[in-house]
Amino acid sequence: MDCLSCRTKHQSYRIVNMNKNSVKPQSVRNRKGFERGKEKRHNPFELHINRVKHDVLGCKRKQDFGLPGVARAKAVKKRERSLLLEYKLRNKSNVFVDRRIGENDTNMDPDRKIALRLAAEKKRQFNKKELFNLNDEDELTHKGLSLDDYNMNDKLDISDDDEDDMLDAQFVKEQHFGGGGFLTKREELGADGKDESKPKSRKDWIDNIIAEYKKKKFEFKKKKEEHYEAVSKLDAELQSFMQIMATNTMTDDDKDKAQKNCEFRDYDILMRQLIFDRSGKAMAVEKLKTPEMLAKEEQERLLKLEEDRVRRMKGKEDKGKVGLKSADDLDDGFMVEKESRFHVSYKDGEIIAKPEDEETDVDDQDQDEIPRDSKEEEEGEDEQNKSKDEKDDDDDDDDDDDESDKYSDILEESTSEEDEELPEEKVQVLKINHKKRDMMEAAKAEIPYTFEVPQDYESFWVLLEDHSPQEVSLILERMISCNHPSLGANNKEKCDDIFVYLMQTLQVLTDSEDDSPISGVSPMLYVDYIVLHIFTITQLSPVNSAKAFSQVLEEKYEDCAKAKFRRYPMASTFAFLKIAGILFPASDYVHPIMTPVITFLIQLLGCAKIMSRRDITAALFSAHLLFEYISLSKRFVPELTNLLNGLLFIAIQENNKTHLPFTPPFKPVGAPAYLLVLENAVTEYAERNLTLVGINNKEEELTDDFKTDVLYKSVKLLHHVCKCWSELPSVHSIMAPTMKLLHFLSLNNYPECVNKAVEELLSAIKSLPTQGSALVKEEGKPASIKMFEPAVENVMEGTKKHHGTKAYLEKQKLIHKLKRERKGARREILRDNAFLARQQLMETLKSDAERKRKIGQIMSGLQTQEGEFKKMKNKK
Amino acid sequence: MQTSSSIYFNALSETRIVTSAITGIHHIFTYLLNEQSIRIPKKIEGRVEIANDKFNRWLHERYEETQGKLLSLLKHEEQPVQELALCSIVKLMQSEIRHPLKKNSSTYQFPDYRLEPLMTALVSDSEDNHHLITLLFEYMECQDFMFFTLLALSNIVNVQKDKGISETFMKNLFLLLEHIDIPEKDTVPLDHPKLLVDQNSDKTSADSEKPKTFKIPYKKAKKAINTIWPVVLKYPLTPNLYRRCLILIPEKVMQHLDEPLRLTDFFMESYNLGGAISLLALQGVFILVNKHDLEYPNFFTKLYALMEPTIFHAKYKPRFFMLCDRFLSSSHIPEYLVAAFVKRLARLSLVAPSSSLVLIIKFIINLLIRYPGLKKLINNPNAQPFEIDPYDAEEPEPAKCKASESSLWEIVTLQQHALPYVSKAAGFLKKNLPSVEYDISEFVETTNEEIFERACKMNIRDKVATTFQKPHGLFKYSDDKMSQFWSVM
Repeated sequence: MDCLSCRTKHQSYRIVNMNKNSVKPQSVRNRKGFERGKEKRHNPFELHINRVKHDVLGCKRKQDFGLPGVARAKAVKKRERSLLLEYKLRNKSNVFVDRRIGENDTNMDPDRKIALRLAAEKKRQFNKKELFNLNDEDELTHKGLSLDDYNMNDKLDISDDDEDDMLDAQFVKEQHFGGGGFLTKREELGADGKDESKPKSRKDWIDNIIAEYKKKKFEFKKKKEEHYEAVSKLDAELQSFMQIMATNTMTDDDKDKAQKNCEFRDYDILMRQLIFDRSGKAMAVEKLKTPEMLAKEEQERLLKLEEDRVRRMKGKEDKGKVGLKSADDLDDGFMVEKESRFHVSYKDGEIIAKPEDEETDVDDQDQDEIPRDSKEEEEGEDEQNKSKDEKDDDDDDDDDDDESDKYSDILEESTSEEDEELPEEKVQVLKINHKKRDMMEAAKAEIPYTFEVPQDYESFWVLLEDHSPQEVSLILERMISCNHPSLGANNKEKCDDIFVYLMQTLQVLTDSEDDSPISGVSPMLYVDYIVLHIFTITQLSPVNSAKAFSQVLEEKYEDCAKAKFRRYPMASTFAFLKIAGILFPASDYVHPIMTPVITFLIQLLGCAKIMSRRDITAALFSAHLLFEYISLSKRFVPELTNLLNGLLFIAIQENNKTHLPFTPPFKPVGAPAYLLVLENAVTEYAERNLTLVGINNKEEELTDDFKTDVLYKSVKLLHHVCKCWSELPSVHSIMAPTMKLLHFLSLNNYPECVNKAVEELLSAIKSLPTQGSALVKEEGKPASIKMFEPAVENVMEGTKKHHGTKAYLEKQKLIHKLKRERKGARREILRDNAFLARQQLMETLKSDAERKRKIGQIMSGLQTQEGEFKKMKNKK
Repeated sequence: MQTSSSIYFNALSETRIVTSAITGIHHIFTYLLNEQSIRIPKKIEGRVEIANDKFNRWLHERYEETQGKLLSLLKHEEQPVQELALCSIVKLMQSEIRHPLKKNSSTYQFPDYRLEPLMTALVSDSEDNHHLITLLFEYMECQDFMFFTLLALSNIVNVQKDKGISETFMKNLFLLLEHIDIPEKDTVPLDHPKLLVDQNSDKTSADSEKPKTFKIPYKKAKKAINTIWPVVLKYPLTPNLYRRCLILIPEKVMQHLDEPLRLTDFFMESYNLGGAISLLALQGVFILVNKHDLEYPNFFTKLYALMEPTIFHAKYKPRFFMLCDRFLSSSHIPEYLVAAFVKRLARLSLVAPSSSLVLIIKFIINLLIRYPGLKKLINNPNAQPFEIDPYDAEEPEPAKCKASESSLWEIVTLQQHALPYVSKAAGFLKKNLPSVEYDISEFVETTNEEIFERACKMNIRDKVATTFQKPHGLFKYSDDKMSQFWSVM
């Protein structure tokens, strides 16, 4: 009962709402009618007039009168339809649901209702089960006629009714209504030339018509008969043919045999397997790409990445973001496009980085201008292509050979999907690695194919121990490919672990000579191979790698900061600084890794003191590294020239150095100020590479050879720097100290090539562009006048009834509404209850009356019986 | 009797015992002072001394004796003992202010008779009492303590100058002098100057008594300063003291001297020495020129010459730039002079460490705002194209270096600096100059560490740009510039 009351409440609340909406227009209508002509006259005893307290002029009154009786009757009727139904069904668990289409929808058009029902019926009949059930009474029809045997035969039958009454169109045209006018007749006459049918009587004419008609009919009949005979004959022959053929039908064995012997059987089986395979093996894939297409795609990818890099270098925002719009912008998406030139460059005889549309143009031009050259080029290209093809073939063969290897991999680790899902670059990497594999046939046998990622660094190191650099590379490669992120959710974290281990390994390897995975092999040999894999992982998960790297970087920085950057750190720090540039683009305007790295280098160059050979090596390394980082973006760093000038400065043999340009950490006095001064003149000098290991070497002495080497390399680097910065407006001032220092350098002591390098540098500085025009500030856009939203003020006439903010008033309104609604709902609930009580009372009264009636009936029956019994008694 | 043990503590060498003895004595006398039991009874004719008076007199004698012993303990071998003794003396002094032994007529009673022996002991001729004096710095903030120390010092110096002054003495003296900061004559005295009484005392006892006010008698202070400093400056100072002197005098002393112009020689010599010393002398010279009408025509030329690449590595870099900012804020400096400074700074930016570049840029912006005529340095549409920069960097005379004909190409160069922090700051050329000058003090102390931290703070969220060319080794990859010079081993 609780539940019921709850429902009624809810419903009644809804009813209230509906009442409001539906009643109002009715009352308005009523009133209108009342005013118009008093068409519907109410019984004055049924009217309830609302008394008006104050008559306000111009104020619309809501309701002048009400009809309490009518309203009550309406309400009762409504309750009978809703509440009473529920009341009656209150103890019933089953519900009768009328699911006839449109039965509950009063708005629906009856025609539409019927159409929908018909459609549903048809649909029901036309379901899967019925589709092939030809024996159903539901027949196939054509033009309203069923297509069963009878009708078909009927068509073939010679029927008299057929086309009986129909006359030939030509015939009608000629004969009815005098033959369709004179004109046609005359023409006919003219054509014949003779006057044949002129004097025929009407009777002859009609006879003629009838005869012709009959003839035609006969011909038609005859034709039909022949047709029928032919068909019947064919039917009969078919029967006999079937009898003959009945002996030759295939048995099941025959079929089986045929299937087995069929040469396409394998294909069929495979096809069927693929068709029913749900594992996705036979999914449609993109078509295999030719090597040219692959190369082209790779090129396009690189081109896109390069564009992106240049954008970041300039510190521009993403293209996606919309820039500031000018006031004149029509917002129609039109942009003044800048002329975008494409720089064609050649590499190994092939044009690289060219988008397709420009390609043809360039080719055309080439052909126009220098046809011979282009021909030669083409030939060259052809040759190359040929050789390439051959190579590719070889590659393919290799791949095939390796296929078996791969499958063995698969068997071990069931990583079959890996190769298909790898991106192209990965495939290429694999190719390279395949080649490597061939070289390491021997090693292969010993190294397992799968590696779990170790839990801690110690076990990782144990894995690598006692392996040659190539083997270590192989181990790492396999470990990464076994735990490739595309293979599982957890692998991404594993890759991050590997990255951290690799960082630690790099630290160990570059730190000192002792810790090598295999004794007797320098740990530095491993570095190259590890870099490869660090790069691979960085590509796989850039964000986490960057985070790990930045942690390492901060640690290294802390170490240096403890020494207040007075001394250059050991090689491991430099190895990390170097790797940073390999993993991340140094040319970005701002980069979360490279910006700190460059800051680090700058600080090293600016603060660390140069006292020994190690320091010089480290300083030169930092300078080279920093130059590499800034060379693409052509950025300016004063510390770079300061240091190189400082190296020149300490090579000058001058007693009083205070007048020479120098910058701290170099000092004009003391022993370090003459660190690079030659003891004896050097005449012979062979250029050789400095080494990263040299940074770790503390004991090595400063030889004249080394001094020459350092000077030569500094001059060379200065030359590069000068070229790189040649577009800076104050490049003259930047290179001025170098000029002065070179002037004081006693070049006689140095070998030929150093002198040459110095001369080159001097000429490069002299040939720098002139200063150019003074600075002029670009005229900015005129600042637009600030526009404000028009301040619209509501003009109120009279006094405001309610005061407060908009939100407050809105809230008050809602509160008021809620109050009224609640009042209405409460009243409705009361009435519902009253209705139900009345209903219950009625039921009780009814059942009482019934009972009374039944008792009366029984009593009367008994009385009759008694009476009759007494009668019988009396009779006796 | 409690005090009897104290008399013998000198004999006891054991530190622990000495320490506890000092603590005990300290507590006892603090209590007695609070009870006002230590008194010199007035001698009244014809009145017989009662026992209480006798006791008080005896207590007073013991108290004086204790003070003497405590002072002697300042020379104890153990440092903790020395420090404890010093603390006790000062604390007892505090108690004495609250409850003076003798009632004086003056309103504020400070036991200066205790302070002078203390100072004499501290500013010793032979021993470096650096550790003890640093303990006193806390009390030097109190106006009364500082003032009476100054008086005591002047007396000591007066006495000492005849004996001859040693280096240790100067060191000790300087430590104290550096903390004496007498407010100028006309400044309004503080409402509640910090006093020794209030130091470290619990509020309740302080509030219960009527608040004592103390105002430094400026004349006395001035006289004391004027006795001390000439003596100090006559002494041949060590380089360290010399530097400290150069900082101290312009900041705290000069305004109190009778004839500051007598310092001219001192400052001029320092200024001409060059290097860091002349940097420090700058402020003194400037005060002399600015406030005391010293004629020094070459001041700005000297300043101009001071701007060398080494200045960015000097210890006093922040100081120098703050002072430069002040020197160049005068409205009477000709524009060509300021232009020369601007151009010189710009040139320096090409060799300056990256951490100082933003400072230079902001400094230049400030000058450009201050002297609107200098805008032609960054916007000169009428000039003909130049073969070379007209500015002559070698010219020592700022007036002749043709800086105002030049342009700030160096700032354009800095826009290409590798650090975004710098290149953004240099981007001001493209925008309008700000209307308000920058506060230089925000930038003078930027270190490389801060720049690194700032660079690291860039958080790595969802995307990190990576390279796309696969490397084949540490020096083997495309765009390689190092492999021709370097290999792994």
